[in-house]
Amino acid sequence: MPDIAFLALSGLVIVSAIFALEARELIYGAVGLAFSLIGVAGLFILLGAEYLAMFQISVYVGAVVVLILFTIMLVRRESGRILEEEEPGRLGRAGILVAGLVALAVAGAVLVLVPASLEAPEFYRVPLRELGRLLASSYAIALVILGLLVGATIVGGLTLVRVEREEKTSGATQ
Amino acid sequence: MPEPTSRSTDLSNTLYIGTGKSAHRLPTTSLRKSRMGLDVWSLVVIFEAVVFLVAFPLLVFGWLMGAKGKNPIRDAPFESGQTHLGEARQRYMMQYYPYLIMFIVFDVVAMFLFTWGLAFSSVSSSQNYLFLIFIAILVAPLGYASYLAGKRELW
Amino acid sequence: MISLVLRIITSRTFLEIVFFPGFLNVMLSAALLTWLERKVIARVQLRIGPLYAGISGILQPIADGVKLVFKEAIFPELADMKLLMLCALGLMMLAFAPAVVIPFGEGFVIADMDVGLVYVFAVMSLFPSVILLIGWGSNSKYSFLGGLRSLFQQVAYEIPMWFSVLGIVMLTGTLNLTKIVEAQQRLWFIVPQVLGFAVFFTAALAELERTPFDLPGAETELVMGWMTELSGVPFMLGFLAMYTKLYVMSALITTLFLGGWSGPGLLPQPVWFLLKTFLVASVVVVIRGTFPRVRVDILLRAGWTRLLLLALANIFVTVALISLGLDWVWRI
Repeated sequence: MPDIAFLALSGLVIVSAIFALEARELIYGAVGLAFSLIGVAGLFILLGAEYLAMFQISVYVGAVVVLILFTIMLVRRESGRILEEEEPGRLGRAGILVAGLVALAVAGAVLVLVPASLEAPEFYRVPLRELGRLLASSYAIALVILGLLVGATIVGGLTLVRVEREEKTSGATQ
Repeated sequence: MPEPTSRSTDLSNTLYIGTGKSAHRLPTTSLRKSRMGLDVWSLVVIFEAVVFLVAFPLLVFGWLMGAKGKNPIRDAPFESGQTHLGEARQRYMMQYYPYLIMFIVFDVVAMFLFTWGLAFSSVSSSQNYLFLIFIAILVAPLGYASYLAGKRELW
Repeated sequence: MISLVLRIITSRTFLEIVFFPGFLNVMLSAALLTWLERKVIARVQLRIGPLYAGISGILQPIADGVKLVFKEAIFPELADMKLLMLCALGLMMLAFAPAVVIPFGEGFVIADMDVGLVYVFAVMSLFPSVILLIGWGSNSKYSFLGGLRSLFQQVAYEIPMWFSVLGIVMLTGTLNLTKIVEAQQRLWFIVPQVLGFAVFFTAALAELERTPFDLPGAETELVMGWMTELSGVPFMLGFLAMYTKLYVMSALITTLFLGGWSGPGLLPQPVWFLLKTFLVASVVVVIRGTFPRVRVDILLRAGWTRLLLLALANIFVTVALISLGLDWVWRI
């Protein structure tokens, strides 16, 4: 018995992703991405990971999409209509046909091999307290390594951006 | 109840939490039904649907109500009486870009921190220190980001 | 069929969602807050405020609403009208969303969510992107700059806000707002978490874009910031969303730090809750009339460095409290 919530959320993810790819303006693409990620968060809820869903929304839709939007808005000086409309030529049409056939083949294979795939996934409730305890005890070293890695990435990224800026400004003042 | 090593065969439909001897298998459950047989998230959806059903007709009504007719002076962006010059999208606040990056990082850090906070009372104190080290490690890049964001000439 | 519909409409769930403490309550409270703000600001500035619409101007919000609905929504010619209208709708829905988890009494909540606290934070983290879209979609320099300022401001103060409630999470061991209120029966969290309260309150002022943090909507500089090019119904939705956010944040502060619905048994619990919420909102309004505005770079730097350090200090204080064994006060 297919679960309506699962179908609706999966549909949201897929349709938003297609919209994000096909949208004429980049901004609309980012908005489509946001909706797709919200759909993924909904799927997390169906799996019982409510906490993860909330942080999926905060981190991905609240931060990453914001970063994408900010970058698009400030880097593009035109109104965003960069992508020219072209009629798909012969190669384009063949490409769409092949992609559609591959998609059908994969979907058919999945439906045959995993017959219950239209139902909602299994639901496990992970006690958050347990997760926190594990993070602090068994996986604490991993956490510290993660912190070091992230810190190094930030410092590296910021330095790189700053170096580019400096080259630009020093070149302009010559 | 912990089931140490009998999990090598049946990998489907089971989820384990913990490792080694402390691993236990989680039972499958379902969303907690809060009221009227509806789980909590359906209630959120219903509430938002109510808000939508009130706000959307208002929008449509307002759009229908408006007088039509274009007028270049009226349709120009508002600049307190000056005529409209130049393209709107310019790079004003690039110097605060490091703050956006730090936001993503600390967003994820907060995620870990909340799980730690929930488990705090049941964790021994020595294990807590590692978590504090985790936080401390990320304060240094924050300082660097703040320093960069303060220098306008770099951006 | 009709009997099913009737049963749904008269069910307690439906009544709670639509009327109290749900949609109508939030809507009316937000409208009331617009009136309250104008009156209080007026008194602070030695004038009177709205006077003619109803007794002491209390029907002024209705007059404003009716006027805005019948106004034509004018957008600049290159602005993306559909995007702006959709974003205004989105603002409204986002502002209402946290109201489902806020408890009004023992067991008196629309949705008793186990992750209620992070749900509220997740919803609030969606505001900057919507505001950014409105600012950019208006195709106006002032709007876009206002949107950018709002984005950076909210992003800067969200992190200290999250860290400041970590102390409460550590003391109660739950993210469920109902349980957090129940844990405060002996002593409200504002006492042990003074630092956390101060940080949360300040960060909330910044999230609400209220003075002293109202640079995104600074009237002398940016007209109305990102809301400049909104008019008519979209403006009404955006404006109402700001005051709905104020109500929801005040309710959240009451729930987290002021004991929620707890109070002596003279008055019913929801009444206590509303009293405390409107008290917090009034303080926010008085602050608006009293403080000057903070400059943007100082604002961002303060949010990222000093406020965050204060929030971390609050965490250390809480750790000390728990190690001293004092957390029995908040165990039920």
